[in-house]
Amino acid sequence: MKKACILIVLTILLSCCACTQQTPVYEKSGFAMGSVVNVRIYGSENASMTAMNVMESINETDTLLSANLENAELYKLNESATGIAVDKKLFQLLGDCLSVCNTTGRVLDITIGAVSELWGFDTDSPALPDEKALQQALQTVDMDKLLLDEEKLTVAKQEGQKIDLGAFGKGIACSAALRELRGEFAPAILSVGGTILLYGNHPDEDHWTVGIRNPDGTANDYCATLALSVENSDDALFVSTSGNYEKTFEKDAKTYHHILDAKTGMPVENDIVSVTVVTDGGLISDALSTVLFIHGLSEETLTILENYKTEAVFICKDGSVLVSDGLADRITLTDKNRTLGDLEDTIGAAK
Amino acid sequence: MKRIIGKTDAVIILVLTTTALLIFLAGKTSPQAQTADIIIDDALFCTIDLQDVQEPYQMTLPSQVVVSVDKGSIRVESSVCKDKLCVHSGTLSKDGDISACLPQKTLIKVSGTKKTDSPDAITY
Repeated sequence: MKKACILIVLTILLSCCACTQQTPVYEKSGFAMGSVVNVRIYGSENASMTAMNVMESINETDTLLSANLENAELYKLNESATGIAVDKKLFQLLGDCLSVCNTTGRVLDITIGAVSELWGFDTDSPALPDEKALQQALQTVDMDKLLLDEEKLTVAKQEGQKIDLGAFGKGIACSAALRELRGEFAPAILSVGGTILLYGNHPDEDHWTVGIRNPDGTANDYCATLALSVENSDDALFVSTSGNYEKTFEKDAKTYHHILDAKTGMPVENDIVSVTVVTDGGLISDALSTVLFIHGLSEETLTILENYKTEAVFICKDGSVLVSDGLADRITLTDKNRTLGDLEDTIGAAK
Repeated sequence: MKRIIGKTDAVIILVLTTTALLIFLAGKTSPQAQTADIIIDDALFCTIDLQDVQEPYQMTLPSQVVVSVDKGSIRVESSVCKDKLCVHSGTLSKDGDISACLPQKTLIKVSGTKKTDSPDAITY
């Protein structure tokens, strides 16, 4: 009996020592899609190779979707007069993006490229566009004039029309990279700019912790955290945020941000500072964060959240943080100056 | 009635359990070494052990970004870029803090002491 007791204690001792060992992690950082890319893979012997493949996959997506790289498929389409035959991947993605635009109130329009180009938020010198040039560019914003021929894989467009997939790109890149991570079967976290992919569950904690940027702080400050986990080890979650503090410039004491209204060509003005979306698809998470930012605190927002089975966190100009039901018990406010509220109730009360 | 364990055994068990608990708690709370990785053009340029800094100093990186290094922290002092977002990132001292200068393709990333429930990533 004595021996048994000592054996049990020794087992506890060894277990405790084992508990202090963190799962080995491999991390790689770099630049792609005009953003910082960071991938962390846990407990895998092939992690360095997988991380390299992830980076390569993101660069491939960039080469497909960039509106600025001369060898990008999308760039070639934009430079063509009235359209061309395109790569099958780009063709499919354009169809997916159009479908999201059409099913979310058409506030997002991928043919806004000529307007985005005038603002130049993706360049070193963004500027307030000339009114006449803006009106002219707005004439080309109409996704109904973008015609996709599935048999010939051609895209026909109005002359001067340019496609901007900025609201989708990082989410698409995360989804494509997920294929590389799935081959490894090891938990991982990938961020492409502010879009985050969580693959599997955190090996050392109960959940992944994702911070939501504090709009009043620096890039490393967060005002709330989300505790997120997935049901099965092969599942993934995507988290994206659209905020009016990103890509800005000042002119005559007024700040202009990059989330543009497709109807006016001007930055969206409402009560919202940022929208964070949590869902199981990369393209959807990225697109919906922009769509919901534009819709703001409206009935359309609730309909979209329901239709897409998506959860969201809105940070409002009055300092409130409004959360949808599915995230209510997963959010922790870390900025004591903010108040937590229910998104559905707030929108309902405003009716 | 026969005793299952004697006095000596109880002491041994107590000592072993206490040791196990201490090892467990030490592993959970003790900070690991804090380092800053400087990445330029997707390649690791250098790693600085921030706990090992004796005197504050500045260094100019090949990408024309100037960094100030202090014990336990690092910051971008200046850069030739236009937006200065890297400078505005402020002082980096916690695990996961980053400062990125996209135009100069320079990234500074602090890693080391992750507290429970501090973020694995920040969405923005």
